[in-house]
Amino acid sequence: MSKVSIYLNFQGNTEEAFNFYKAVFNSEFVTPLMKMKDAPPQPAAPQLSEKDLNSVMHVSLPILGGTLIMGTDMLESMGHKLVVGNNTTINLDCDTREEAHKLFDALSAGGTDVAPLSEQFWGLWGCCLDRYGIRWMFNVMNQ
Amino acid sequence: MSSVNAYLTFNGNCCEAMKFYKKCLGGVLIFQTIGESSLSEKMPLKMKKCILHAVLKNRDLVLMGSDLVSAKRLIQGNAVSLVLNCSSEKEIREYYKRLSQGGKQTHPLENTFWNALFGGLTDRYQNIWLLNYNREQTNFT
Repeated sequence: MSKVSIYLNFQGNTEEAFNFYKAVFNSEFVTPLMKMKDAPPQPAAPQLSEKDLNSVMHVSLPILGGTLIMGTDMLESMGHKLVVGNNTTINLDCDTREEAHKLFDALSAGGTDVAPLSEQFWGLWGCCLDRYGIRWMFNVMNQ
Repeated sequence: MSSVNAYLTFNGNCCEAMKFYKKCLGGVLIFQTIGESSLSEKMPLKMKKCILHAVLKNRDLVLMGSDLVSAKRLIQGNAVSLVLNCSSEKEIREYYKRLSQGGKQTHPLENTFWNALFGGLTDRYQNIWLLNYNREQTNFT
């Protein structure tokens, strides 16, 4: 079956961010976190600095309902620059208000652009930009 | 069961964009305009045709969208991309072709060291997609 995942970019702190998400969602990486230096040698691969070699090439973590978030470090040496936008948000549809409050409290700690959980006509809703530049939305639908 | 999906924000062209994604990916698309909602009376007249909430749903995917953007205006970032893990070479080639129409093929499909066919694109609405097809039917994990 085909499936959809969400890919996150960071500028050098993917490992820290994913350890944070691992704790928030009480989950485990699917396979050990892979660094740039772990990738098989490629004929056309550029020479990377020690710092870049220790950056994260790929990591994946199941969150709610088994959906995977994946992450990588953008390398400034390759001309990659992170732009934190507001065009894509990760929506967490929670079964219970308790779960929504728990996840909101954890993800919004140290974050910005916070809209605290509040009652809307469809249920409980809130959003935040977390400390690593990822936007999350929280919903608990009225029955 | 609690679930996760990507929520896309647009600047008045949510309807057009979500119809485009339906054409690319298939599925059932449902809209609610601001005018149809209880928010309507608080909003300026020109916002009434804008989309409060759109959901595109097929067997493998739930994609949501809205025209409600923060007062800061829409900022197209590159921190979050959508991954389509495809189940056949035919499917990945078809999705890649459809989604990149009018957009930019930033990383054309190619074979990778993880034994997959992989590519990336920025679509015509500036959203970023990564497409992966594992030849050995292991998941892209």
